[in-house]
Order: sequence, then structure tokens, then C-alpha cells
Amino acid sequence: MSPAPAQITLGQWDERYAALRAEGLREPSYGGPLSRHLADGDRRLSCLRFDNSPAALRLWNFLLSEEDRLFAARREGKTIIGTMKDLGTVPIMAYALEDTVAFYPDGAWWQPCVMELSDGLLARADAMGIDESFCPVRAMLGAFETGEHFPAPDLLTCSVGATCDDFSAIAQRLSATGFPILWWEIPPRRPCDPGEAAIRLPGGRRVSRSQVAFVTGQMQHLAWAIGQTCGKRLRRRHLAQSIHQANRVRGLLGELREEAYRAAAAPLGAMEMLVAEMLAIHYCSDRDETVAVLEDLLAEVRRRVAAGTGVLEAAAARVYWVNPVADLRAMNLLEECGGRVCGTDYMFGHALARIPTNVPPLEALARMALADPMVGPAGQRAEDICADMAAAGAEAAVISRIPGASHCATEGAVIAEEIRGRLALPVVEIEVPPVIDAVMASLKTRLSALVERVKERRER
Amino acid sequence: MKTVAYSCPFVPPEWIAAHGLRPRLLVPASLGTGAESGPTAGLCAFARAAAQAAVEDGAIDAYVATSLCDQRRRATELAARHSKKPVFMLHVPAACRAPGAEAMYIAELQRLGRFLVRLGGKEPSRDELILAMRRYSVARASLAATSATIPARQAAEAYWNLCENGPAGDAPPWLWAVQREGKPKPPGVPILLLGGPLTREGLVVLDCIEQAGGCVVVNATENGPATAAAPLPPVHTKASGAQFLMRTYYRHIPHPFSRPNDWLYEWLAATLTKCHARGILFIRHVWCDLWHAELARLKACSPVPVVDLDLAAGDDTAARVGGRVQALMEMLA
Ligand code: SF4
Ligand code: SF4
Repeated sequence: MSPAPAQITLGQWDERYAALRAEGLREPSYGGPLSRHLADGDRRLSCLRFDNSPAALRLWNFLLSEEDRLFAARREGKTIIGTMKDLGTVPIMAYALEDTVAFYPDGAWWQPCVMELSDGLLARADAMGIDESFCPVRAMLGAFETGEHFPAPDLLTCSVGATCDDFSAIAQRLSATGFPILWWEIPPRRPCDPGEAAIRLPGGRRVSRSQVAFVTGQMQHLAWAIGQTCGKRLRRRHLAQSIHQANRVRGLLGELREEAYRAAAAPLGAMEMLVAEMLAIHYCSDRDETVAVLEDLLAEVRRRVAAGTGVLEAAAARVYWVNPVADLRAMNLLEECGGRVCGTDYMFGHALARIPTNVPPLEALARMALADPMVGPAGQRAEDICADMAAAGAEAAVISRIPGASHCATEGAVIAEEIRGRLALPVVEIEVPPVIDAVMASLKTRLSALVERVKERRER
Repeated sequence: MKTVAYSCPFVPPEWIAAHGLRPRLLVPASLGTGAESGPTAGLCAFARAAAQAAVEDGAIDAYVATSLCDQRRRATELAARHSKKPVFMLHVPAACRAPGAEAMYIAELQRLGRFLVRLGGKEPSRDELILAMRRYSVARASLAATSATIPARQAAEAYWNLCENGPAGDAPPWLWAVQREGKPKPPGVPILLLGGPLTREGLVVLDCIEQAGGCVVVNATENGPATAAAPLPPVHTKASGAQFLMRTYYRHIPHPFSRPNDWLYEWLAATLTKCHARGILFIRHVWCDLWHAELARLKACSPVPVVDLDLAAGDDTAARVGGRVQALMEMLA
């Protein structure tokens, strides 16, 4: 008999893993006990509480084996495209071609957390003049320098323009140290001027036709460069097929979010949901496997919802979470404080929305890139968050600041003001460093206070 | 006549002037105390102070902001959230070699033009625009020649004055102050100033350098005279006025925001050769990632010593600046 849904430690997972194996668990090639990643240096795992389902095991193993997959791709002679900053757009082009793998070097963001700073990546960035006044994505500089976390890509792309200064500056530093970058422009999304023709973006915002045309031009250039790098021509039908597959991932994730966030008792913890959402951006360097991982998770969640079970109490405060956290432990912490995540804006809502299929593929990708919540005004992002919170029945919001991030200084204030003004719900702004241990007590106090306020409001 | 303020070097005042409106470079009095209401931590104090001043100053009818950096874009949005003052966001493409980047800058100027017309301005003919550009270009050239002979503070103020009052007439007001005071440039160790923009209070940096025995030969701060537009080239081609602005502003002004930003370094190498500066004082505002990230590269490739000076709201600017300038001068002694 399967145990009830629960969150368990790494040690408990070893026992659970042995039991599952004894029951005949079949795993993909990257499977194995989770604790083996600890031996690889992923020390943070010992502080986390994981979902106890085989689907979650597969998710974590998939996430934590990405490096191996990338190095294997290199050995197999596949073309590797490093796509920086756009979060979800350029990989769709790369995956349109066979034997091509795309990944986000930005993912090094989490290395200092996962390895509890033992990787020295932040120290390397420091030595390159990129100190803690920058976002933790600076770890990427160290990762390029050591070459230990991913192989040097055959092509490196980066979107700039309406992007954070942190990333733009760090990528420029990278380029100056000898990693050539294909820069492409994403302009700030703006309302149409009087008389300008408008186009509707995924998510519903309207933008001027000229902005879409400009970004489509950028996509054409990227498609050409990717084709050149792979020695193949990126044809329209390849792209259309790739968009279709991307929509498959997005569709699955949409269903997973719907089921998991709307359920009375959270069927899956916030941390697994965060990891699952991230898959929509980069597919962990294997898109087909991403689909399989998400299908497993969705099936598990559906089973639990049908059985009326979950990993948290139904009484948990329904909290909407804004921005990803540099330390995954923060997601566990909210749950320990009596909250649960009921909706999120992890800064890549555009990577979750369905890509239009009734327009030429490159234009569809351009529309998607322009729908990025971070390229528009913070006020628009705040409006979308409020609408999402209302639909999710959120009772409070956590705005999680990213240390050093240029957008967090102003954006948090705008989002908090909108939530208080429109929904009259409690909001807390916290800052989550790559390892939260030093600030754990204060974070706990603040998250507990938020949950308390939710409970008081319920009683009123 | 309506006043249209701007604070970014990539906004051409002659474009505003040619539309029959009054351009005004906005230079905040100071970076503020750091105790202002609203968010301050994590924000470039200059971007914040400029956006706040643009919205609050009753003498300003509209503000042209840019997306040169995320800080400007977001600080402007925050300041303008509850204001009815018209604000125009001009996008200056960062990926300067990407296809369509230059065309986009031109298109953005044209979009700005339509905004100015909606404000009450009049669309200029090509000749009117070229005339306005020529007058600004001549004024900048004359100021550049004069700057070589006057103290750095006066040169900076005269440049700001030109950007505020325009190049009007043969004896324009911005030149009067220079001529009236007529102090010669003090001799000293040649220093190049590079980095983020200065406030009026921040001009103390220039005084400190001169008091410590230095001589500012180039002021290439973000709003300094050395980062002004290039001189207007001969206009006998069929290029539009906006194309000339693209060449003289977008292609010319050295700034770290461009991707790649090699031009900043090419410009710097050529300028150092010409001006014989023996040291660089690098100004950066705390939380400005764009300038900050260049410091290590600059130090590695500069043929002369570089000392950096970070500025923040609430600083005792004079005291902090004095120490850093002294450090630079000692390195050069
Ligand atoms: S977390 Fe924020 S500051 Fe950091 S790279 Fe992402 S968008 Fe930029
Ligand atoms: S100093 Fe830096 S952050 Fe401030 S306005 Fe200039 S580029 Fe932007």
C-alpha cells in the first residue's frame, strides 16, 4: 500500500526509495536515490523536505541530472545553444532542430543555494568585480569560468533592452572575458500610441504592431544564427512543430497548476511546483522527458485531489508567491509556518501561456517574448498578479525580493500597493538570499505573522 | 512655450526645440537625503532624483525618460504612477548591432515627435530640424573650445546651461556666465572623469580634483560635456534629420549600456591618447549595475590608474570625494 502523501527528508527518501525499488519501481536512465546528489555536492538537499511520491522523485532526479545530460550531449556531438535571459523563447527555436540542445546558463542562479556556497561561484564572480550588489545570477560568471556546470555552448544568445541591469551587465562582463554573445533586443512593452495598430499578446495585453514586427525581426536573426550554428536551415514547419510541442508542455503545466493550486488541500508542495514551473522555460535540456515528468506529476496530483488528500492541511493560509526564491528552503518554510502556495508569478508568466498557432511561427515567438511580465511596466505586472490572486482565492501575498536585483527596488512597492489597494489583502515583502540560514528566524517570524493575519481575517 | 524635460544623454534637445517646445536638461540638485518617502534601497539615487524632480517640478510640462537602464525605466514608472504629467518613454536599443537597432532609435524619435505634436508642438520640416541641429552643434563646438580654458565646474555648468536654455543667438546666456567670471583653468595633473551622471551638488567632485592639484581635461560623466552628441556632419546627403540624430547621438555617445559596449572602450582609448590624462576618476552611483560592472574591465585595460568613487543619497559628498581624489592624486604623484 502506498503511504499517504507527505513531505519527507532526504534520509527518509532513502528508505522510501529502497521500498519503492523492492516494489518494482521502474526509473528512467537518470533515476536513483536522491541522496546520491548529496554526494555530488548538492548539500542543500539535506535541509529540504520533499514530496514522497515516485513522480516527485523523478522530477528531482531530472532536475539534478541536467549537468550530466549537457555533458553527455557534448560528447554525443550535439549542438548546444546557451540561451540567456529571455526565459522560454529561444529554446523553442533550438529544439526545432534535431540533435540540438538548449539550456539557460542563468540556471547557475541556484547553484550557490543547492551547493550551499561550497561551489565558490559567487566568490569567482566577486573576483571578476561582480559583487553582492548584483543578483545571484552572477554565479553564472563563475560557472562559465570553471566549465564544471555546463559545457561551453556552441552559440550563446542574450536578450537585452527591457531586461534587468544585473543580467545585462553580467552578460557584458562575460562577453568581455571571451565568450562571444549574440545580443538581441527586446524593447519595453508599451501601450499603443494614438492611431497605432494593435496586436493582442498571449495573456491578453495589447501592443503596437510595430513592436511585434521589430521583435519578429530579432527572431528571424536568431533563427538564422541557430541554423548556421547547427549547419541546418530552421524551416517554418520545424518551428511550427516545436511550438506545438512547447504548447504541450505549457498545457500540462497549466493543468498541473490549476489542479494543485486550486485544490482545497495542497496535493503537492510549493517547492516541487516551483521546480515543475521552471521546466516550462528550459525543459531541463530534454523536452520529451519534460513531458513525461509533468505527466507523472499531473497524474499523482489528480489521484490525490480525487482522494481528497494532500501534503498540507486544508486550513493552510492560501498565499500567492511573487518572484522565484534564491533558496528553495524558503518554500518549505512558508509551509512550516502554516501557509501554502495557491498561485505564483515567478517572472515568466509568458513561458506558461499558450503560444499562438494561427500566425507565422516567428511572429508567434515575438508575441510571446513581448508578453514577458518583466519587459512591461511593473503596474501591468501588478494588475495581472491581482487578477490571478482573485481567481485563485488567495488570502495573502509574499513578495520575495532577490538580493541585488535592479527591478526589485521599485517593483515590490508597486505590486504591494496594487494588492492592498485592489484586493485589501495582507502582503509581506521579504528578501531571500541564496542560503537563508542566517535570516531564517526573521523570515519565519514574518511568514508566521502573515499566516496569523490570514487566520484572524477568517475569524472576523 | 511648454517645457519638456529630459535627463538622458540620448534625448536630443534639438529635436524638442525644432518642434517649437523648450527642452530642459534636468539635473537634480542632489542625490537626496536617503530618507525620502518610497523605496530608496536598491535604487540608483540619480535615476530616482531625476524622475522625482521631473514629476514634481511645476515648471516642467512633460518629461522624456529613456530605458537606457532598467533603473531609469522603473524609477520613472514609480515616480509617475500617481501623476498626470505626460511622460514619454523613449527606447534606446541596447543591442546596438542587432538588425533594426538603429532604425528603431530613429522610429522612437519619430514617435517622440508625434508626442511633442500632441503636446502642442509643430512637426518641423527637414530644414528647420537641420537648422536647429546646426545651432546646437555650433554651440557645443564653441563650448568645447572654451571648456579647455576654464575651470571644470564652469565648463560643466555652461554645458548644462546650454542644454537648459538652448543655443540662442551669438552671445547666448550659457556663454555669458563663462565670459563674466572668466577664471582661467588651473594647471594640474590631467584627469579624465568617467561614469554616472553628476548632480549640481556633485560638481564638488570637480572642485576637489582641482583643489588637490588635478585638472579635469575630460568630463565624460553621463551628463557631462564630453559625452554630448557628435558634431553635425555635412548634410548634403538625402538623409533625414532623424538619421543625423541617430548618427550623432546613438552611434556616437559612449555609454556602457550598449551590447556589446566596445565603443565605450574605443572612445576611451582614443580620448586618453588625445587628452594625455594621467588618471581616471570613475564615478558610479551605488546600485548602478551598468557602470559598476565595467570597473574591473576598465582597471584591467586602462593604461593609466583608475580610482573609483561611489556616490549615494545621504552621503557627505564633499568629505567622501576628498578622500578618493586624494587617493588618486597620491597614486599619480
Ligand atoms: S532575478 Fe531579477 S535581477 Fe536576477 S537575473 Fe532574473 S530578472 Fe535579473
Ligand atoms: S548611473 Fe547607472 S543606474 Fe543611474 S541612471 Fe546612469 S546608467 Fe542608470
